[in-house]
Amino acid sequence: MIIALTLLAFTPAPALAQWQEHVSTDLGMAKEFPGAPLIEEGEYQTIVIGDAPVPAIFYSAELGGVELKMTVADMRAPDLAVKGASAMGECYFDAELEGDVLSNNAYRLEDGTPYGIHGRIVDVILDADEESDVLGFERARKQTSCFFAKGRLFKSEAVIADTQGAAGLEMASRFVRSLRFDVGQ
Amino acid sequence: MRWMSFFLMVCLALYSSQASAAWAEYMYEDLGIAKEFPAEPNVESGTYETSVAGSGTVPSVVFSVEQDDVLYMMTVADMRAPEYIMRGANLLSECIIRAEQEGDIRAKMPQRVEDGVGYRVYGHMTSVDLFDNQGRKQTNCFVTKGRLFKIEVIVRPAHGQPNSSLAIRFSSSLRFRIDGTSYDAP
Repeated sequence: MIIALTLLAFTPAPALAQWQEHVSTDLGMAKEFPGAPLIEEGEYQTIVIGDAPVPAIFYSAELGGVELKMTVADMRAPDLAVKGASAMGECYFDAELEGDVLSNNAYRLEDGTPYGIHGRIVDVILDADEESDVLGFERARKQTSCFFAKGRLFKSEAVIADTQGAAGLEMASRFVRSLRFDVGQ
Repeated sequence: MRWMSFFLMVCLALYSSQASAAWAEYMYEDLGIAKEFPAEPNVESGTYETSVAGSGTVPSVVFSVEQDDVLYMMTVADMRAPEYIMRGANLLSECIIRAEQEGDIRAKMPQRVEDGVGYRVYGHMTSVDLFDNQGRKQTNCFVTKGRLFKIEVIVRPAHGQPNSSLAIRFSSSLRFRIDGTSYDAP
């Protein structure tokens, strides 16, 4: 019994993972991840963006039943920048459509200006048809944050297994909020 | 007594019919929007107060009608200056937050309307019970075409119906596609 408890105590819980801030001066942002994220380049396309996909960078990590992902879509072209508000609105509209909405709240990040960057954070219980694609979880919960800054859409997503409880929620909450834009340009 | 009831019903029907008939869609081609009002709105120019614009001032136009203890208002803030274009999402979010802070939130949800260039315009609806029993307010915020469109309707307590269908009609009756063509979004 004692051995079991000792082993349990030394098992790294998700909430205690070693968080590191990943700084990108190119993108003008700093973002926390529990360890080094996998970084991939690709494309992002939605109805608001239109027929031509835009370049995007995807950051991802997975730890202890929590799947973390951030998408940075480049919308600096003048014809896209003017759609920034709709792109952000679409981002959290789509997030709400993924499941039963628990909350949709405003959130403000720092960018070095007095007004900051205002965005939204959505928390849902994923629909059954979404769950099958998500790490095989039975009943997954997802938090999504959407911000538009410096001509880019920043979409952070955290999917939490139903088994992770408070530790998983803490990790997801930290992930979707841990972003700042007072970097670089 | 039956004649009296019949007379009252006819009066009510005529009154409702007139009230409904008074609604009309007003086309503002220079602003890129068509919007319904219950009567021809008063139009006033001014400046839109926003911290997102920093120390700059943002010209605005306010359209308003007050009728039967309901205030209908649309503010159009001109953010077409290049330094503001990039802040459109911020402006939208600020509009939403301000609406949420005006009272006890009863409902909030994303919205979308079609626009004239083949993509959707996403915005947000917020409904609150205003502090100090000032009535129920619904605010819709959209940013498109370099402008903030803030649609507000306040149903004052004296109106008697906080969930007035007129408020819903006002907040939902707008379109950004005004060139007479139709567009089927995918």
